[in-house]
Amino acid sequence: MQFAKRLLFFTIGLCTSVSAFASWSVDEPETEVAEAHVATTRVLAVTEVPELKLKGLAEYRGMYVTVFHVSGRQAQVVGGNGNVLNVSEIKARPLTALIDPSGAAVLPKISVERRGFRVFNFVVISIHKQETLYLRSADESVVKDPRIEDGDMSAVPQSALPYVRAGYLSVPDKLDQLRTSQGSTESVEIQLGRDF
Amino acid sequence: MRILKFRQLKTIAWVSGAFVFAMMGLSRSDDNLSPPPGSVERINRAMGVYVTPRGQQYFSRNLEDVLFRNGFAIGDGAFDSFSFKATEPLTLSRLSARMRQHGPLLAAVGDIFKQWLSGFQFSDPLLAGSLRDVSYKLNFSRFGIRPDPAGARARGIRDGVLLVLEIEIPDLRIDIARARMNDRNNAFLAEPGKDPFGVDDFWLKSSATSLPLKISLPFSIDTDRDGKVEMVALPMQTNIASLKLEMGFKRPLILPYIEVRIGRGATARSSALPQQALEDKLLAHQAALFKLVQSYLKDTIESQIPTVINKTLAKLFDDRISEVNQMDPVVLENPTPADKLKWGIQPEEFSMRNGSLELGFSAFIEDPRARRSVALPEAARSNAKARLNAFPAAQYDMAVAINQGLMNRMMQLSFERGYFEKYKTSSGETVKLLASPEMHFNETADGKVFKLHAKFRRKAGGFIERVALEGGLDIDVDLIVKTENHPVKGPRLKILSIDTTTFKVDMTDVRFGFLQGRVQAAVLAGIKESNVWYAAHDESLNDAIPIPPAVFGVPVRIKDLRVETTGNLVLYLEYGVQNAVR
Repeated sequence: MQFAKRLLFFTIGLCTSVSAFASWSVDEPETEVAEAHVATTRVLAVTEVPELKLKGLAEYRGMYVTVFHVSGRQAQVVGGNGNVLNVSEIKARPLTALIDPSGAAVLPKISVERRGFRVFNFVVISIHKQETLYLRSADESVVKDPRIEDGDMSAVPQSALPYVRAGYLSVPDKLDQLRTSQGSTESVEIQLGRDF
Repeated sequence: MRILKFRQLKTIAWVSGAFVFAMMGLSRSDDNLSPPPGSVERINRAMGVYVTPRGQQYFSRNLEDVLFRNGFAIGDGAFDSFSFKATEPLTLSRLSARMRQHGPLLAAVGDIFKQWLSGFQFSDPLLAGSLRDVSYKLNFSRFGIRPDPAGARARGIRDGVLLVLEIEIPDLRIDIARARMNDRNNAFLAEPGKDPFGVDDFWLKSSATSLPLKISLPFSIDTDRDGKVEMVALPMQTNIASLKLEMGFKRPLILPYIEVRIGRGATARSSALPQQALEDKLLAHQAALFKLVQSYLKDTIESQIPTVINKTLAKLFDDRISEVNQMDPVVLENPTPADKLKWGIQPEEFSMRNGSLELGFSAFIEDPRARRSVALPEAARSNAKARLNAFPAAQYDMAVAINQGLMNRMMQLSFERGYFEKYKTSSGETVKLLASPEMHFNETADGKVFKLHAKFRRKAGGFIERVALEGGLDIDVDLIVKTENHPVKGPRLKILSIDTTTFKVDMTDVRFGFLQGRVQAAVLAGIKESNVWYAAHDESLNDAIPIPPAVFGVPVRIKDLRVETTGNLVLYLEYGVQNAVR
């Protein structure tokens, strides 16, 4: 086969051959030429979620509350009240806390990295009796969870699925508004019944 | 005698409300749920969704927000890794359109080299590459979708809709921490286990003096006579070739080691490719390089992307696009899965009317247990489009019109199932409805009040009634119902009274002719007594029409609901978005 022809084509195909475009007559527009040694500062897109202070949970004291930071969309469904969340991805390791005797629970602040096109846009809050809870989506499937490292959700026991009560907060419509109205970027107070 | 106090028809309005919003998740029919062809009682113009110019503004200016609410972010993001493998080798015959003109030159040059380097085997490149830690940031100054009526006229689109996706990005940046490429057909280019080509800490961004990147992609949407949706991506435009870009990378580049050797033995001389000079050249000529790449991308985007999109759309729309699902029958309390009815909606019309985007849907509701169903009477349905005259279009974002035929069909199927045989009234009485109740939005004026026809048999009660009547009385009544957007209870259909002027009593079961006048008077008295009760009590046909909290992820709230003499119940909706652009 023709080594040179293919090599040439290869380089042109990649558009990385200096000799290839140097030999052509191409008008160069005036453009700032960048330095080759510029150190790249890659800043990953991150959403900072403040500490969440959950209140009004006296009815559930002694139980656990788990917060999931998820990517999802509100489902338009028939046969429900429309207030259903389709969860497509859990975007950070879920946080679990014990509900204290006063009916409160505090979940620490967390940074949720934006990876892929799916974005963290809902906070799911679930109250449960067992120590660990895994999330089921509207179609009853167990959502892939960062706590299961190999991603095999079939290993999740049925006993880890029940919850007593669950709700969700839209990040733009609820969490951001609460944060703004409470004037704090460090923590947000969320009241059961009022906010979810 | 108290005639009747209708208990809530519970699910009817509830289902109607949910029904309306199901269309937002339209998908192709599930074969398991699809009724057999030809067996469905299709209701044309069953629903209409109208997005006003005010409502369109949100989607034309805030599509990025709409995507975010649905779980997608395209403004910035990161990927751990990305890899690709070419399935076919690169050959000269597969040059891009722009490069094709250089094909003969390349071939000629190749032939010269072939003579000098004959015997050396270089196969057609079969590339595989990988990227790690890729992140990007796109600052949109515009990202939206809008109807384009003028463009539609210019393109001769008469009945359908032309939508244009418009993107404007003044500032973009892409970072790739590590990029590697190898040629699986020419493994000699690198040491075993290593890649011959690569770059670390590569970045690409738009120059501060660059024009913003603009992309415009029009779509035409229409339905043919068979109701098949046709959505076509039309040629797109981009100014990507005019952008000024900058790039950089960490030196050195990873390239194959190339050495030219002349002579043999101790006197031989060799010269390696000066990599640093090559990198300098690469950076010095980046503008020319970008121009090549940008021209290539412009050609590819404008010529190939609509083709690719259309192939995808053709696959998606190769059948009638529709939503088919199940629903609980109205009236029946505690239904089981086996009780469910099938319903479906299908796009029927896409058009523009007075600046509003109009989506029309036909629908069916069927009973999978029934061998046959009586056709819904013409009088129970409507064939007219909603007029939407309750509010100026500038005062709401979206309207949803529900044909009375759709609601009447729900009640008809429950009636045929026998769920109205023992219908509990508010007063605790049990009556038997003799015909399916029918809502008639088209019998009164446009506004908030409409009539619900009901024909029922009231059993004779007490000694005198049992003597005078053959078991009971058949009575036709019209309930006068008012649409109401209750501040606490939500949108609902409140019963005002029973019409005292239109009721009819079947005297067949009155044993003695001379009693007919007294029976008529007694029924009227009973109606009046019931009306006193309705006036004192807050009674509605439904708990509340459940308006889902969001449409396409955008929160909505109901502004009002009205009926029209067109035979439609119209829900006027507003977006509940704090930062909605008006």
